[in-house]
Amino acid sequence: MAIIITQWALDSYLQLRHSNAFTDEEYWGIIRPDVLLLAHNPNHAKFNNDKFWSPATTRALGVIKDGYKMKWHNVGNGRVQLRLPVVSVGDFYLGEAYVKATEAQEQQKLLKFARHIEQIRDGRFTARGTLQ
Amino acid sequence: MSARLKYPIKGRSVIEAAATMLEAGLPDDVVGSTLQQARRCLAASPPDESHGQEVLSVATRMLDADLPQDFVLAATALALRSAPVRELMKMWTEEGEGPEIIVDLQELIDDNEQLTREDRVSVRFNDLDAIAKDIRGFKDQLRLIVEEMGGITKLAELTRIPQPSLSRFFSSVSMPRRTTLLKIAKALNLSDVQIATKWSR
Repeated sequence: MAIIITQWALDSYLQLRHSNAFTDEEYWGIIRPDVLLLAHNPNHAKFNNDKFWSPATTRALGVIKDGYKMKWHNVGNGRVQLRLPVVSVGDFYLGEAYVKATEAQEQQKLLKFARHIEQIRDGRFTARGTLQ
Repeated sequence: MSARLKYPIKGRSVIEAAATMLEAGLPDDVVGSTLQQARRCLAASPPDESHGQEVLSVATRMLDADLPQDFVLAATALALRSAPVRELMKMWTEEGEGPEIIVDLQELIDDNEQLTREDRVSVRFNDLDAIAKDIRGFKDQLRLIVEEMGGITKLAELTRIPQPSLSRFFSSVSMPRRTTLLKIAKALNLSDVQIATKWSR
């Protein structure tokens, strides 16, 4: 299964890198290897740890079908909570990553993610290559 | 009835008028491009009536808050067929009518314009900093022109893009949408060269 980088993901990486949300070392040493597990080792024990991987859920809509969150804690010099929404529909699609600030802000991000999933299902989105 | 009709109408009446126009199938020159877009959305997927009133209620509050009519109508049309968009609209009222949700809604409206999958070349992680620097430089240059011509408030009036979305456009390093650049160029009578960037999408 491929790991597809969407335009939403790319734009969020640009912004997060620009704001130093995570360091180069964290990207190459932690974040990227974790994301690659989706394709290379989907049965890895990490996916049973809900502090790392969990279904995406909103108060208003409940569990978002095919939507998941990958989570990293205390990353970057700001020690922020980084979240990467992932869609699993045959292949994996990386969504708009964000720094979790408050519960309300995360709910907002996940509703937006739910809409992105609708567009991915409809084949109405931009892909920017795959993570390999 | 003229195309100007949609601009003087305020409050709930604009939504009701829009709904009537959509049902009546008025021609393009009367209804205008935004309403036509709304009609296409509604035709593609009939609205869930049980949530219609909630959406219309939020839309009315958005109009009362002086958000651009084009934006409110497009958000309403999308919310009537997409549960996540509907919940985002409701969240706007529940969370104190903050600008962040308006920015997200405008992005989803823009995303909805895309009708097919597009595959574009990938970007390497090591190039992100250079790309962000390029985009920052381009947006700063464009911002100078905007300030000379009346600032973001004026630009919001001319483009009918919500001011929070324009503020985000200029403050972020995300790749600018070609459609947004064209709206800005049209509003300020800018040339192709002034809105040219290799990172537009």
